[in-house]
Amino acid sequence: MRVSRSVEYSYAVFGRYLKAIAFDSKYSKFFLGVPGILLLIGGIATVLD
Amino acid sequence: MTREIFAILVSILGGAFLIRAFDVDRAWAHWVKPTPAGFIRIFTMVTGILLILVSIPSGLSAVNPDIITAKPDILKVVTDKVVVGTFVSGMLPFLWMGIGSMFGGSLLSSWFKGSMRSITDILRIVVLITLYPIVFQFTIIMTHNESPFTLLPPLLLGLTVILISASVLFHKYRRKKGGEVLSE
Repeated sequence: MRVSRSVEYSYAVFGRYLKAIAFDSKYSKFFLGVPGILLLIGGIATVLD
Repeated sequence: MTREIFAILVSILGGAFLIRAFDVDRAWAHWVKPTPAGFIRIFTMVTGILLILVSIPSGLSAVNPDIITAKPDILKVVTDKVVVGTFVSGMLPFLWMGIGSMFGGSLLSSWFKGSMRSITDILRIVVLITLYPIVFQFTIIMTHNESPFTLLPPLLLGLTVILISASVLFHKYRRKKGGEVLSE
């Protein structure tokens, strides 16, 4: 089995960013709020169309 | 059918995103704690939401059906100032009672806890009360074509009441906190 330190490091960084997006209110307001509003508007628009 | 299912799924996902984005889940967990203050908050919040929901049919029933034609154009109805004015004046008492109930619950809860937040809550209720005549006058202007300058007396009166109550309350706060300045 080959272990790549850089790949593992990338995973760790990626995970940290995902956690920040989901649980840090500073980032989640934008990264989850905007797609959330767009999805909600899309859902309502699909029903009304 | 598939489209409706897709729309519902997308809306649920959007709602979940929004709940996480604005920390609604954490706020909810904080709000529904089984303490006396928590129960008061839940009770007044449910009452407030119900009253706000009731205000919509109340506003709709206030609109005279004679002013809406047999085949109403939604854009025309929404932009008709008499229709909007009567709708708002009809929903205003229940809407204000609902919001007041929520603010009252928040005040009672912070009063029970002995928190200084009660001062801000009192101010919030004062602002709500002073806003009522202003919005009511605005609906009268819309429905009866009165002069927009009639909005000035309730505006000035409201501003005076808010300024006086804010200065009295913050003075009281400063005295209690020993000279500490309230940041918000």
